[in-house]
Amino acid sequence: MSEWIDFVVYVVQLVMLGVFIPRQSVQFTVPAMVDRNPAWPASHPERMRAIASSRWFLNTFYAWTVLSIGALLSQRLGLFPSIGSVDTPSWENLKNLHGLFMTVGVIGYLACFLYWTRWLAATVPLAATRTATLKPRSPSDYLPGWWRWTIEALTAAQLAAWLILPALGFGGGRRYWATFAFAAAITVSMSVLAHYTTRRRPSYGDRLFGDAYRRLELRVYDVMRVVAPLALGAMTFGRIAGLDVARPGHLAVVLFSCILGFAFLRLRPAQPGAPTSFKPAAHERQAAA
Amino acid sequence: MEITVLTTSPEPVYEQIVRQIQDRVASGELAPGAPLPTVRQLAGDLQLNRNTVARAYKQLEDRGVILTAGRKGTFVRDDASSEVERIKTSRAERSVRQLVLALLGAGLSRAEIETLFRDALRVASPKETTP
Repeated sequence: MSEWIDFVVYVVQLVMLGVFIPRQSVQFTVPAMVDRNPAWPASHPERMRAIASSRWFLNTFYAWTVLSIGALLSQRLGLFPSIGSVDTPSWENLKNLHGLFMTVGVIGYLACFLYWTRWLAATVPLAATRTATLKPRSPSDYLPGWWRWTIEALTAAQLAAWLILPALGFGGGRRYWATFAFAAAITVSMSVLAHYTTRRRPSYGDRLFGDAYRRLELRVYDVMRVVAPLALGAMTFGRIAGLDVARPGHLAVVLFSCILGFAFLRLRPAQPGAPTSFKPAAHERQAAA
Repeated sequence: MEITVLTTSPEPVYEQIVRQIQDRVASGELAPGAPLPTVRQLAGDLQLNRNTVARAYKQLEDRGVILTAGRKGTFVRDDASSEVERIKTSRAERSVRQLVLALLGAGLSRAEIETLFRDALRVASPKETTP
């Protein structure tokens, strides 16, 4: 398999994290402030103008993307020194370099998000008037029954397969059970996150994208419940069968994260008046306008 | 169906929640058996302390308006409408009694108070009071 395929997959992920996701994220700026206090943006036009003209966040990520792709290209062309030992295969060097830049990018993104939430809490006071729905939220408001039952069935079938296969002579051993424990932990974590997502308070994402935002969150956690143990299983049984699955497995994980990123990018602001489970009160809508 | 609270209001927030839920039950917006959000959901949505919402729910439960059925959730009681009507009537009686006492204390006669009430009713709902 040509290492240019690895390069292209990594570039897609870097562009996703460094260009498209930051561009999508900045759409949340004003709705986040309106969510805390609908009157604040209108009463602070100077600050709003400064925020609207600020480009440091986007420019930083664009620069990171160019730097990352340049470094990967240099590595691919043999211009960049190897960060591993001399025996390390070149595809693994490319993978390690990509991993390094992705780690920096993800930490940078999370740091910006943390800075933003702290700034928001410190600068924009909570509105005295607050509105909430009197309708309880449940998963059935966002996902159809067939979806939920399919996810539950697939999750149960996978976990059962992990337990049954060693009894049939496939797998077993300390490493196998450690991988199983990891897969089960991911499944449980995703279930807990989905449970929390249904009940969490409507955020600016819900205001901007409507019900589609929470629906996407729930779908991501559900898909992760199924795909993560499946990927770990495929890698485990590939290893047992003597296949080298590390490289395609890693590329598959990178591509999967890109698919999740594309799903986030496909979200579009909800049409005014579209049915949502949460809407701001009339006075809030007026103030926001 | 939404609930709105004003944290700067002199009326305590938990009482605003109680009043609004009672009003919706009385108007039929919240039908008997209708589920209500959990304390955690409502407190989170209103960005309030959970104890505030729990206190409101406890008061509604004590008044016989809602019923907490363990993990199944919280529901409007089947006989909640009549209970809310009774609460409203008793609250109105208390308010009127206090007002009458205040007017008597201010030196107004029984006839004057009756006239005041008749006039006030005529202004508030002319059709019902016009013979």
